[in-house]
Amino acid sequence: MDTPLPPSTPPRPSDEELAEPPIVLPDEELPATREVPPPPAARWAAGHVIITVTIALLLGALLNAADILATAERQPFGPARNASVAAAERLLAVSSALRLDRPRSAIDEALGRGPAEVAEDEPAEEPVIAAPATPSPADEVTEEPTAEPEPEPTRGPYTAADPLTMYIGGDSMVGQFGGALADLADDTGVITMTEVKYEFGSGLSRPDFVDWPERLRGVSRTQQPEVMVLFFGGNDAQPLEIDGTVYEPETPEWQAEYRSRVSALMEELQELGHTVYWMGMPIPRSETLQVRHAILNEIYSSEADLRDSVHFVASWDLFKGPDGGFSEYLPNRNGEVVDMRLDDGIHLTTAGAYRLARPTIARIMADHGIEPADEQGG
Amino acid sequence: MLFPTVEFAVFLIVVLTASWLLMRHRTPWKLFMLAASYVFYAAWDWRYLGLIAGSTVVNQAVAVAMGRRDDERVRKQLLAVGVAANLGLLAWFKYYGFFVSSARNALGEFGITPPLPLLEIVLPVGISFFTFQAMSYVIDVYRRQVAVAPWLDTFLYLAFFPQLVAGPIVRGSEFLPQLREPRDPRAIPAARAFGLILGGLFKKVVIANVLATTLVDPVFATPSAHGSLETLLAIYGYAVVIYADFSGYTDIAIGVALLLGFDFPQNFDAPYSALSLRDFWRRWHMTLSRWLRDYLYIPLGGSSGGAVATAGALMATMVLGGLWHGAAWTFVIWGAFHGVGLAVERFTGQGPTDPTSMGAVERAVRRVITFHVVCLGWVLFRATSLTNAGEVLGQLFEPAALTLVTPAAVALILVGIAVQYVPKDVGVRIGRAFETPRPVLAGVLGGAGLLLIDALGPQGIAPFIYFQF
Repeated sequence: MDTPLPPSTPPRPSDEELAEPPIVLPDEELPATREVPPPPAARWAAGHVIITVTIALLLGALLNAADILATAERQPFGPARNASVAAAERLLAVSSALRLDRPRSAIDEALGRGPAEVAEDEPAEEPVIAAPATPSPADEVTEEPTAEPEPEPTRGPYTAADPLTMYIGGDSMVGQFGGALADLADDTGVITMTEVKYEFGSGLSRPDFVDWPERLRGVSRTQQPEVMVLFFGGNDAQPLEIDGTVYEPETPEWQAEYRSRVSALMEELQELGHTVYWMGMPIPRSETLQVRHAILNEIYSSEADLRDSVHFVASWDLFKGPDGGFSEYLPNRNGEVVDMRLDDGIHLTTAGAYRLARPTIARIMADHGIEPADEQGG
Repeated sequence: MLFPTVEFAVFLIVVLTASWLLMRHRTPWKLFMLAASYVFYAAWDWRYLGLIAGSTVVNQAVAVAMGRRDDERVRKQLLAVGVAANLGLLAWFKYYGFFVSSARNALGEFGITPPLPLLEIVLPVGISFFTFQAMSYVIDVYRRQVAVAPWLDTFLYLAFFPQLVAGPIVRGSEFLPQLREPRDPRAIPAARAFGLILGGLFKKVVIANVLATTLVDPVFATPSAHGSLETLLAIYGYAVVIYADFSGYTDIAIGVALLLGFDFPQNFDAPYSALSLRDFWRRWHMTLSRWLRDYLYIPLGGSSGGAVATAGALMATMVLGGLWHGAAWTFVIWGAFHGVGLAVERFTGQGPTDPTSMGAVERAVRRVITFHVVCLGWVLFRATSLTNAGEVLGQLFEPAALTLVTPAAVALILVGIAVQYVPKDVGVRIGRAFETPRPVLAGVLGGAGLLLIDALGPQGIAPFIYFQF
């Protein structure tokens, strides 16, 4: 066989190789100054090591107790979270009693950070719309991004000197997509980004971790973007605790609660004068998540339909394969089949992000009377 | 189970204590450590336990069969089976989609659609590392450089949790002999281990995470939104991020192994102080460099042939080394970039590694040039496509206001580069303060270190992003 396998005896490298291998030298050929063996005396007994590690980790846990509790509370509702939170609460109680929480508070204060957010169960906001029946994937809105009637441009024409201002925010789904959309926006020459902001593990299900409504209020106040592109859902299909009971996304109680949050946020952003593009979740690989993300999309879509300034941008069908199901590989603009989804079957690759960003920017431009750059002669 | 988590802290205390209590009882200790390692791996996805166990069975069966035979032809056939099984595993899980999509697109140019379906294959954590370790074991047994290990030892070698997920790539000849006798419970290099773990945590949690989230990721995501200075700092920042992230993780792995009584090889040695690309590869991911040299470069002919053959072996080694990092053309090109650089250095005599052979000015100039060549390579490595790499490099000539650069980001970049020039004996001198075991003092200092690392790290990295799987 001609496979370049080594012979049974060790290969005989040339003298030159032994003296100067091209990639890395064996340790014994390293300059003497770099050889730093640990001092022989600095060797401990196992008992001392175990005591040290235990003290270090215990003390570290007490000093960071508030952060550990905040981390525990960010876990999805369920028995594991309950146990973690209970343990972390006891840890924080001990830490507080011993005043070991103070150094961390001082450091956070010096860094201009607030104390680690310790969640309280968010009160359910007033439901404004009745809970829907559980939708199936077949109920998913399949409208294309350009399917909605175009509203009249609110102002314009937009120019480089007087651009349309846009903010992109949300959970980790924004990671690749936000960059792609911002890139395409920049190409227009008349759309300026105020910020692309995403937080891993965040969403509307867990305001105890990141309070997006509060954050977007701040964005509205400080950045005043005309357009807000929001992308949630990557972490939102998790159980919610409502009045002490944990509900799964398939339940009417969960949907009513989640809908109330979406509705309140959309309403507030509209009242603040923003045009909102609310991204729908693309079809995921997991069949369980397909059902759950379809529920999210139905809520986003139907709530957006109730408001003139909020537009739902469907992405589900854009990532379907030829068989109508999830497909990791899809053709790009050049007809090349490329990997559109990350390994988790939820998030988008860069190619996938551009697949979604192109129709999205096209729709934003159409809604605001912005012509494509080539039609502008640019 | 990631190292910088409470879960791992609890896991470590339990495993460390039980390991030393069981150490004198060899078989129960090995069974316990194997179970602990599988628990560690199963924390990502228990379904892949079958994969690592199956890989171990195949490799050990091949090794045992080779050990029982003297016929070189049969041994060679067995080796081919072992290597093919390992490469097949990698090809299926890591490269199938890349190869098939590339083939379809290439043949599509000629109107041909190959009958190769695109499948949904999820990449198992750590497969590149444990597969390379398994290959080194089988090849070393074939070369009679390593004796065939008992089954339980091989299971533990390929699953040993400290290095299972991200290296260093520990060879059988380095690990298996350490299983023959119980580790000495009175001779743990604790000061070095604690230094590696705390330093690794700081590099990973503070330096890498802060720089990546505040500067590097946004610039590479939208290159056109950032000007020359910001882009340049983001490139420097990425050089620091990838060093701090990777070396931080392997430092923790080496430190944890030391606490358990095991010596792992060093994996990084101040790579950004390199005097040439060849010097860089002596210092960067050293266990992979060794692997590529001994199992790829030299079998391909190494430098024993003529200039063209040597350049060919060098290029093949570096391209395949690039592909090992990920299934994408950017990694292939990154490998080729280094292959060309190493070949040029080799044939122009510009690849010295000994700092004592040159003056201070030449050393400084070489270090600056080498660092920038490596940074250029990192742009290819980090970019999502060649277009993205071109956009990033193009922005180096587009002046614009700074929007992301903060004093903290600049300080972290400077720290990340400055640590490359800290003399090694500084660590030894600090370690001398702990020659006499002082568990309480060391524990208090360790706890304070954990406070600083957690407080200085970025907020908002939630551990449950993939909780639904």
